[in-house]
Amino acid sequence: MFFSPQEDPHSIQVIKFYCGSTCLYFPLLTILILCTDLMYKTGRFSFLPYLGLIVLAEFMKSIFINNYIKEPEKLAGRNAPKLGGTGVRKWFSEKRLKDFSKILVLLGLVTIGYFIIAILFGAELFSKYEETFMLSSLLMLLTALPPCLYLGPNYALGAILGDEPSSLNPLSPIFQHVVRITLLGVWLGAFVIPLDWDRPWQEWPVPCCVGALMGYVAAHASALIQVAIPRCLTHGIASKLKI
Amino acid sequence: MQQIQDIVNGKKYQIVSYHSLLMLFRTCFTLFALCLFLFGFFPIKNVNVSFSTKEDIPSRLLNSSLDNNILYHRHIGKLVLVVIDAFRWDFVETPEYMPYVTELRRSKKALLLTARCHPPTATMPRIKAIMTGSIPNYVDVAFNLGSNKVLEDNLIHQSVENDLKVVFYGDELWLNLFPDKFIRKEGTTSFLVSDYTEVDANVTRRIGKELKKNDWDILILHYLGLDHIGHLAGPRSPLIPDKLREMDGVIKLLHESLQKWDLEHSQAFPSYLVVTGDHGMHDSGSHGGATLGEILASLLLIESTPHNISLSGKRPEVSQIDLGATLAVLLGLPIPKLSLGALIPHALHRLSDEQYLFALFYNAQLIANQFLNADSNGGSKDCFILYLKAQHVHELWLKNRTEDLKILAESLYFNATQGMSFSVVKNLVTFNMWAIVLSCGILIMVLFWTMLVLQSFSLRTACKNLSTITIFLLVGSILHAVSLSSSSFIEEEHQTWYFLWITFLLLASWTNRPIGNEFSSKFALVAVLLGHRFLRKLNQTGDKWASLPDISDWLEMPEHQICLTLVFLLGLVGVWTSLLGLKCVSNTVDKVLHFCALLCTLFYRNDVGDIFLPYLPFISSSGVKEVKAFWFLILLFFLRSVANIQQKWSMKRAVKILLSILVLVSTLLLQPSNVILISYLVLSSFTIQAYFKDTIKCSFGHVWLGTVVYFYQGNSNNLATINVATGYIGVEHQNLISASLLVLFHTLTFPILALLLLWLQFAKEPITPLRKADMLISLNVCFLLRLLPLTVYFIVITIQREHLFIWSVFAPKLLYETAHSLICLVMMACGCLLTFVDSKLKGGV
Repeated sequence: MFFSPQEDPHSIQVIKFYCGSTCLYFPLLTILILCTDLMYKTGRFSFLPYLGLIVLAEFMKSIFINNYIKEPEKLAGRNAPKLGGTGVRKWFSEKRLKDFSKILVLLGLVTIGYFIIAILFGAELFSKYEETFMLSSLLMLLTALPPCLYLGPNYALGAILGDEPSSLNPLSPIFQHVVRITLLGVWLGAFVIPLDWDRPWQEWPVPCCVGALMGYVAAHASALIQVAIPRCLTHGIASKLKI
Repeated sequence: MQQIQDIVNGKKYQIVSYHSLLMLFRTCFTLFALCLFLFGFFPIKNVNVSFSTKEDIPSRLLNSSLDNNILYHRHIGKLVLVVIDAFRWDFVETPEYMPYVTELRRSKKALLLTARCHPPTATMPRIKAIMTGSIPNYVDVAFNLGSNKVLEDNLIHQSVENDLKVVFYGDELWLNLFPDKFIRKEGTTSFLVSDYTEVDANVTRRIGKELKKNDWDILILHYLGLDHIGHLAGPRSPLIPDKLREMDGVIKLLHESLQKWDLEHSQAFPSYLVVTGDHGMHDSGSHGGATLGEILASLLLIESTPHNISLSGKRPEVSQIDLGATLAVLLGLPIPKLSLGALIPHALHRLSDEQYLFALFYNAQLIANQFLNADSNGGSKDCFILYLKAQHVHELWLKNRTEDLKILAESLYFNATQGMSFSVVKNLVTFNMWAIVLSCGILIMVLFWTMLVLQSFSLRTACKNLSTITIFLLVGSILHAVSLSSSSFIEEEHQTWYFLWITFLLLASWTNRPIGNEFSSKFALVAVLLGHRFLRKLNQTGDKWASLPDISDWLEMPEHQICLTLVFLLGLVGVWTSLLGLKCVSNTVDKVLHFCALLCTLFYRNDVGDIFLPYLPFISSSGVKEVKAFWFLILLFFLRSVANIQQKWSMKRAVKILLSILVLVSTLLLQPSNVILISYLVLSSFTIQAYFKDTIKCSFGHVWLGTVVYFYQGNSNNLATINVATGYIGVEHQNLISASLLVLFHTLTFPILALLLLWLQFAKEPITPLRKADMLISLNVCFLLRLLPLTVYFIVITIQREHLFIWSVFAPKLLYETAHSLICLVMMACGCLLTFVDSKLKGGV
């Protein structure tokens, strides 16, 4: 479970900040959810405010990274597709509006995609729409929202699907990594659902949501560790395994 | 490494033949280990053929002598035992279903108990348990199809020995179990499960005549209708209340006649009516397993005069084996030698205190003898000491008759009996640990050997760059094998497979591009994905969710017959297209033969009444003629093909012939709603082949596919889901061998077909040594995939042999796993032989 980040200091700085900040606040959120009754509400609409919390945190991070972590001169010339790069002066422009609506449509499509996949995996077809929808939205927020914010709508889908090893943004390898580990978490979580233990945490989609949250934390933590420890070590292993 | 180079470069057929022989050897070795394990796990019990006699009734209690003629004699006149198959414990609870029984209970003439049975909950072992009072061997369930004579001591034998006349009407199983014991008898066959009225009407018709005669002492009736309804439509079917009302009518008829009889003849002893279920009913309607619904049956004790027992709230629960001993005491017969049951106190309230304690003493003595036989140092165990204490208290009571002493003796006897009986039952199961450990050792060895062989074959192609999907396939297989160590995962094994299968498909579509026609392959993949979602709802299976309504239930409702007909026709069209698509039928004569065989299937289902086609003529009501014609057509095709293949050997042709014959046979055997699965199997096989050209992934995919479709079909790890009715399709006489072969094939159809579809791919012309190596690799992969869960499971079950669920969850799974492995190993042995023969023939050229 490794990824190959770009090696220049700016990218490393961005990755460190991005993963580090997630590792600070997200485990707290996860622990809060796990230790209270909130866990059993993950499949209810009443959980939506907490999803809003995730969105807010993600927005703040993106504004901070896009505006305050300075890019070196050589990259500034490149036409990097990002949202906040153009500065405060053109806060409202036609391009922004277009991008914004594109992002909304894309996020909607991703949610529908997760919904369909959940049903293919065996979620109820004629009932429990609320639960399935909440899982899909959670997954959308965790896996699709960050790429949209940093890469823009045109490149986000490629980053999620892992089609192109995009070098446009230092964070795009992270996004692929997060998608994989988060989905792995959901996948492992689903194993306990059909068993006959009759526990409240077996209810659809509680274990999947918990798996997603834990996978998300694990993905960021592992990424942070990978960029933080000496480069030569991880690089050797990563290139050997090519996972 | 060197070998594959040789195969590629030097075209050395010898190496292929050498390896296929080695593989054959491994297969046979595994088969041996399999049999060894079964032998160790299900030891064959030596039949104890000694019988109880009047002399066994004790005449001494410690130092005081007893007159057993006064203390032990007959207490009831005529005994009528009504066995209602699958009479679940809760069927009596609704007053509207059985009004007369409810009335009897209110007037204290009937006593309702719950009888707890031991798994397996099949009819034959249960009847044996009631009559002998012992617990039949677990393997007995295998012989449920062809029942054989009861050799042990039993209640019927004791009755006949002591000049009581027994009359029997009902399930003909009894006639096989107890031949030549009844003075009058008539068996009804449990052949046609779809018939639930005639079987019972045939029994009821006889009662009237019997009640006028005076020459019998015991009348046994066995009603099958309720069980048939359960198999057809489940315990919540609207047919169940009707059937229960009918049974209530029978009980009313019997009870009223017996009451009249007692008044007219004023016999010394009143008549006695016992109504019991042999086992319960699973929530899905079947039985065989160990869920509460299956192991709890109703037991009604009905008398002519009201009893004086006060019942405190809850329904008393007794063990099913208690019934044999209790009836023996009531009839004044020697208790069967191997009986382990305690006496049911509620049935013995007419005995005097002296007689009652004596009966308890006699029964305890019988069990104590067995206890000492089974456990040589059992004399110092607590339960045996309780038994000795009970005797002392009993003797004390004989001298000083106080109520306290009586109650003390009674409870001591009960506790002692229960403890000793429990201990004997536990000791009945003795594993042969040598055989078990040896077979596990062999399997582990063969597993590693196969891995080494596979590694040497495929090191170059696969292991260097492990793709995501290869890792997933390996991890998935290992996860599944490990999951077998938990009973919950065994019960819901299909969910694991569905999950792995859909992940496999999605990963395939994500990471791989199809080879060849891209559009049609992608379309096929989407169809397979959507088909999966639909088909996993076709038959709900497993344990926790099995009772949920599913598509096949909906289709089988009488009012949806037209839909079922359409689905069946669609399935047949699918089979025909698949056969053409696989190019299994090439010339016109073969096409005609196949088409006629499919028509026979259609006619058969129409005649049996599963489907309804308006313009199709009826040929025979049981459909026997069509099935005969079907087998004749298959035989004709087989002979033609053999004649063809003798002229020019071709492995591809051989596999195709086998495949098309098996597809046709499974079309005949499968439930009408399941026929559609065949086309799903073929479509999925096409898709896998379009996405993966790599031998190893292809083999993995096919083995998984076979297992997934096996679960779509409705199979589970509960013995209740085996459809025994398929063994009797188009047969007029019961034949154990053909029936069990058909049932085995019906259960494992899809794993078999999937393997054949896989091999068909490797048998394609022109055959080069490289293709042959592919075939060998594929054989090895399939072998490994069967061996891995088998080995893990054998180790798990060896460790878990004291587990609470060993007989209810682990043992049935063991039977399934071994049956599956047996079939696959035999097929692999054939595959090895084919490869060997082929390489010899080619090498010779």
